[in-house]
Amino acid sequence: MTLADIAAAFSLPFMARSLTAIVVLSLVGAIIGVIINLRDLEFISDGLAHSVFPGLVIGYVMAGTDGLLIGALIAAVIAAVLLTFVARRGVGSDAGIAVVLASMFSLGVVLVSREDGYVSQLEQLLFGRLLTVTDSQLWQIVVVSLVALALVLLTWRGQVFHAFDAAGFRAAGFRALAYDLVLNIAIALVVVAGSQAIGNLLVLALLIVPAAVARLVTRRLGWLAPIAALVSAASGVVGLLVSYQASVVHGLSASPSATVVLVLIVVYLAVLGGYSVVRWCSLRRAVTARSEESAAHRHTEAARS
Amino acid sequence: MRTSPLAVAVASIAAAGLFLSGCSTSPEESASPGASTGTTAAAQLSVVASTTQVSDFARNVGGDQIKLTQLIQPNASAHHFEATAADLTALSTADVLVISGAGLEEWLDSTVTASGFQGTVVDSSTGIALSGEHSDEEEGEHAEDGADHAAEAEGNPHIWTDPQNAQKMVTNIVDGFATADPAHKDSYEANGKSYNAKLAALDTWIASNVDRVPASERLVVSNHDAFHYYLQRYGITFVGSIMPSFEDNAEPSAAELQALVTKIKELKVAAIFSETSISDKTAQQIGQSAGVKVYSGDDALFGDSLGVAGSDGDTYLKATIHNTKAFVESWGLTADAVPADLES
Ligand SMILES: [Zn+2]
Repeated sequence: MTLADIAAAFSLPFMARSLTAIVVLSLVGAIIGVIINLRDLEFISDGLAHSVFPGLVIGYVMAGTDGLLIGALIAAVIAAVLLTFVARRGVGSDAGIAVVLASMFSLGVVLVSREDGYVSQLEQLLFGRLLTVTDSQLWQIVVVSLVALALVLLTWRGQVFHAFDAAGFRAAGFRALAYDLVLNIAIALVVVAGSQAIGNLLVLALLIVPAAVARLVTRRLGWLAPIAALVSAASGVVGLLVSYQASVVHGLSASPSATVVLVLIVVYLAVLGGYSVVRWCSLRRAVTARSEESAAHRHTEAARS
Repeated sequence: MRTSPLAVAVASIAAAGLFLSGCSTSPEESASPGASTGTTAAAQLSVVASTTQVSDFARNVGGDQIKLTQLIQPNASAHHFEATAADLTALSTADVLVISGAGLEEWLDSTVTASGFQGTVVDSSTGIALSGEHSDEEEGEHAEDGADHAAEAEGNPHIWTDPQNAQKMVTNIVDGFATADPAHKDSYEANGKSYNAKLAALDTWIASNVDRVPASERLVVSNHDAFHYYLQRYGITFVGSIMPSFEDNAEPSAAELQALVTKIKELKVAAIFSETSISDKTAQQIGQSAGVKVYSGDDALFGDSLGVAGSDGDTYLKATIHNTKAFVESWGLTADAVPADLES
């Protein structure tokens, strides 16, 4: 696949729209993902992703396709608030989150089974339909993502402070509850923005994997977000191209969303492998250095006596 | 030291890119968008057709003059479809899109918009009178996005099951191809005429078989209401369908199932029919509780879609003959030999 082929592929209207959706979501997801990673909130993101489900169903039943976004938004904000309060109770918060998650999800399942005419539509929603994303959906994705990004960037310093030193954060007079709420709502917005086009699986992957890769690659705080964003966007583009190539040249219909998730996982595993090798080498070097040092030390000791 | 893991990350992305470039060295003909369509196939009309049935019609009408891409795959539901990148790419450069129409392809608008298709749509249902119900959604449920739904004709969308409707569909396709490609007008018309003669022969054969059965015994229970026009044409009574709607995953409620079983027993229906595009789980369940034969597996009807190449229903003619034989057999008779000119 030459550069000209790639340019030709992305000049097709559906590829251009898919690319825009994937790049916007991956950039915003990666940046918010850094905070999620620093604060170990992966489980909350998972809960939010599942909680959007009943909102999608209610929205669809009440107003058709146009009701999806508003239904999902309402459900996500309710879930974000619920999860914020449940998580604040500290001990057993994981169980609390699991309860919220399970009850919201089963509410969605119950609603879906009552409205049997909508099953396959919603099935597609859960797995996304990136290739047929419409212009208006694309605008929704861009606007909702930018709002989420703004929420996190405006509270960035506080969020990072909270992640590294929760006690100091509170002692300095920050209101932890407000920051938690803002963060959870931002996560919920990304989940909502992504669920229609790319499906919940990929939204979760975009929130979790790029930040995890960045954590392996660098220890510098300032580099986390740029590296996560780069990994995420590059994986999005590569995944989209791989699934396009598989479909057009080889006749294999690979879901673009699933392909992007696979690319993200491959990148993560590769980096994890590289990281382990480097760590093992430097450990060995340190051990050798130390033993040489102590050997030298023993020599001088011996010489002295 | 710190940069080396970064190098690993970059290398792994590059490796993925390499894998990508490996793909394009495939010996198969390259289908890069926009570039290759005009080279070998300069004279061919580029056609995309939606269902397996209209694809078969288009193939018969177009012959070697067209390059056909079929969207819905054999044995798949015709009501739901998710376009692949290859489908959308084919659509983006196609001259003609043939649809079954009558509201069957609810996925059509988003697919056409996504692809940027700029050719002509040939609606094969043009001029066909609809009847029955479009039972996909209850009235009023879709008030909000009713704008384009209201414009659609209401009625059962499985128009092709009546061979007389199929002839009209073929004629619409002939007209569509002739307008898009006037240079081969004569060829399309000649092909259409000879294929329509076969459809007429098919119609006669079915009618003569069904007529041997007393009208009161011509009863059918099918998986979903896909044979409305066929049953109407040959005076067959539709007892009911297992699925409450056209939705593949729709499950009938226990009360609906019980009502159907009671009806089957009351009317002494001899058999119920599953379809190749739908799971036969519920059909088997009903067959057991009503104590009647279930036509499934290889004996299932070809409803929404034709079968895979080499199967008993890989063309419209073969599939319709298969279905007719199954119906006639369920009423206790054996169908007459099929006229030689239909066996192809
Ligand atoms: Zn159907």
